[in-house]
Amino acid sequence: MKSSMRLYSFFTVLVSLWCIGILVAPILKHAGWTQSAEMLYSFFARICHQDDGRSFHIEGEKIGVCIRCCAIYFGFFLGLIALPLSRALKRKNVPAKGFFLFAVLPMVVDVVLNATGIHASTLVSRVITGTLFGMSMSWFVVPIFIEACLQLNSRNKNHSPDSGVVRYDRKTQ
Amino acid sequence: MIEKPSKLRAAVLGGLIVGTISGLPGLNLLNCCCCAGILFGGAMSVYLYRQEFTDGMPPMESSDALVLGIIAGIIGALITTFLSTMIFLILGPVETDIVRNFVEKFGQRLENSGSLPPGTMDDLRDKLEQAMKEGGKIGGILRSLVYALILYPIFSMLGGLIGYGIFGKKKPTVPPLPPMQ
Repeated sequence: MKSSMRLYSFFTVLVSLWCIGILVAPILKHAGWTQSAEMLYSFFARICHQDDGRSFHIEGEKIGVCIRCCAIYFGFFLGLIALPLSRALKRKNVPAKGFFLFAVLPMVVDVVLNATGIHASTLVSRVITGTLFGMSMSWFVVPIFIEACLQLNSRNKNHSPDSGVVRYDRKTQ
Repeated sequence: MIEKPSKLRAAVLGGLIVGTISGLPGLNLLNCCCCAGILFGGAMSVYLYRQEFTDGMPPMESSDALVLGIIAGIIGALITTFLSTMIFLILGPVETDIVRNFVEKFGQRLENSGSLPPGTMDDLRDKLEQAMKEGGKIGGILRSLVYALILYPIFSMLGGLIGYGIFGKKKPTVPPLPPMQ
């Protein structure tokens, strides 16, 4: 397997575990594994408000994160799955800055309008803007992540122990 | 060729940004929006590192952004835990009042405008009380530190990679053309 594909698989496994953790929390709670469920809830509480009224539920229990965060993470996962179909994994040139704005702007507008009380965000708006952001981020970040890991790997190989000087491989630049 | 600049300064500054945003009450609400504060800190560390490059240096690489993001995240996690513990120990009751007032005023306004579903305020009050109970305990602090040491480097690394994508490589300045003879 090529290095880039190996890295991509590794990253996909990590993101899958993250998404599974979000879904497992309510299942554990429903099954009576309260302590494990609380640990997972407590872990995700550091990055999400976990408001019951703004979360999807499984078996009557809220999932690990709110609807918007859920859309972001699962959108990221979907984008990750679609990435090898849409572009080469080792592609050097990352998407343009405009692509980042295109991804983040709808979500920021939705959040700001809601926070200022001008327009209450809905379930649909949270899911659409979150998924758009998550999917776009995976296309933006993952190729850079793979490139970075390959660079680190090649740097380690080129490291000369005698001189203590790191030689940079021209091909990776 | 001149060596690349040291990452330490940019990583510490990025970590300080992460720690300040995540450790200060009120500001840390930014992290409720997909860890925006941590992502921002990671991206800023890359931006600051890019500023240190001069002509003749090898260009900044994505691996630099990855490493910077992770280091900034680790520093940020330590600063956050230290800062929030200190604030709790020194200003415990005062901080509780400030946060409680803020949540009551802001939350009530959102609830009235329909931006918050009914019952959310009660949920927030319960969470606040629980956080205040756990805040000063050693177990709570350690658990907070462990979670932060897992989460912050991940999100800060993502921030660093986003920062690399946005700020990119510093374009080398083109030397002036020799005068025409």
